[in-house]
Amino acid sequence: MSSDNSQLPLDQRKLSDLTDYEVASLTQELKAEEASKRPLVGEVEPLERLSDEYKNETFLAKIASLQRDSWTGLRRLRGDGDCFYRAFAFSYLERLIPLPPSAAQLALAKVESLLPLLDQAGFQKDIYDDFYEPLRDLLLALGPDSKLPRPTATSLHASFNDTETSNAIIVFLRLLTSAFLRANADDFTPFLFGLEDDPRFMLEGGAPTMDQFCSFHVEAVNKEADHIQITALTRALSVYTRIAYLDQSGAPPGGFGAGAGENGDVKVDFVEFEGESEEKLNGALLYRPGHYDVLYR
Amino acid sequence: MGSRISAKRLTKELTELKTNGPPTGCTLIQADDLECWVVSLQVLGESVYEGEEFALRFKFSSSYPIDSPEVTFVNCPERGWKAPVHPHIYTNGHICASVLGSGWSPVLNVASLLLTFQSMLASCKKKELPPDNDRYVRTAPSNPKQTRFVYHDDDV
Repeated sequence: MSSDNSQLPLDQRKLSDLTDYEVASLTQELKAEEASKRPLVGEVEPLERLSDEYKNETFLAKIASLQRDSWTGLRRLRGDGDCFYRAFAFSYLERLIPLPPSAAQLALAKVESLLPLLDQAGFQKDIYDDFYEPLRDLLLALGPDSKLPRPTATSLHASFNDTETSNAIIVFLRLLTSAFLRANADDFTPFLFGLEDDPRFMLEGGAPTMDQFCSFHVEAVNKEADHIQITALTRALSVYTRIAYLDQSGAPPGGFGAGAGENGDVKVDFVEFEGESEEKLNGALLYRPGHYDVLYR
Repeated sequence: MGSRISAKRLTKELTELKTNGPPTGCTLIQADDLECWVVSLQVLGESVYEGEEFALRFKFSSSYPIDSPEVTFVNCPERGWKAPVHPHIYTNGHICASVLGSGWSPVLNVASLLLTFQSMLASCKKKELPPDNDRYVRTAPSNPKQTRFVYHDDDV
């Protein structure tokens, strides 16, 4: 136990006394507390509502640029540490709705092909099956052999607002991500980094091992997804995903392309995961610092 | 519908514990109520706790296993159970371990927690109370899940 007051609740200590790690934990806790009042997945609303929430010129210019690019809708997600996974899962399933049932059949086959990775990662089938079931049932319902009514955007929205269904899907996606990272540890380990003063990783010189990273940053409930988790999940499922970065900077973290075009005209960077889009996709995720929503046009 | 997964998982875990037994050194004492179990625990091999028997109480909310269970060491003089003297275990039975908080993952279960606590005790070199034990016990909420522990040198 380090300093004398280190057992006081974080929010009763001076912010300047907290380490970066503690500040990050506190931020996440406060966000989760505030977020618990919002629906898990909201209705589609006009993108222009977002402009009302910002005074910052860079943000306003970027929102305007999205609108010029005919991005008009936004579906807000609850701002907890699960928002990436929830946004990804919702958008992944919603995109299957207008496609022929064979698309869902293919998606299901892909997921099934990944199950051995979960076993390899040491997850018990008995345990992961409970989390897999809701996703499998939705994919089956969207597939050709379904006797159930085909899910619609409305019914999918309702399913995702059922806490248990929604959370089970998220846990399953976290397990897939973790299993894929572990199976491809050689490719991903060089990108691991720890928060410098996270006490759990001090012994290893700041960077966690893949095993630690997966337990603490992927499998643990409510831990946000970073670039590495997003890369792993989209690659595992071979799901093309693009993310619009609505942030202060000219370029998103990682430095893809330049944000500011000629004449100081600000554009939003779209980062693509898992290859090029073969068709013009009308879906994307919208990233704002620390949060993901679904973007429509 | 809040507890489908929870009841399903607990039933599976309980059946498993009853059929194949809990980890060596542990005994299922009570699980009449699916939401509250008591398991006794001994540390195997040489350790500072040799010959002592402890008991853990597990309380499960309807959001288990998404949410971690509430786990405490039992103080029950009639059965001879007392919380172990350990730098991360308070005399009221509360345990400061990240596996019960931010390190919890829904793939963990009662059996894996029992193993974790066995090894946490087995690796202890010296019986010492947490330095802030008195103050913590005076002000602690009855449910340790409401305490915001700051985890230190342990990775359990």
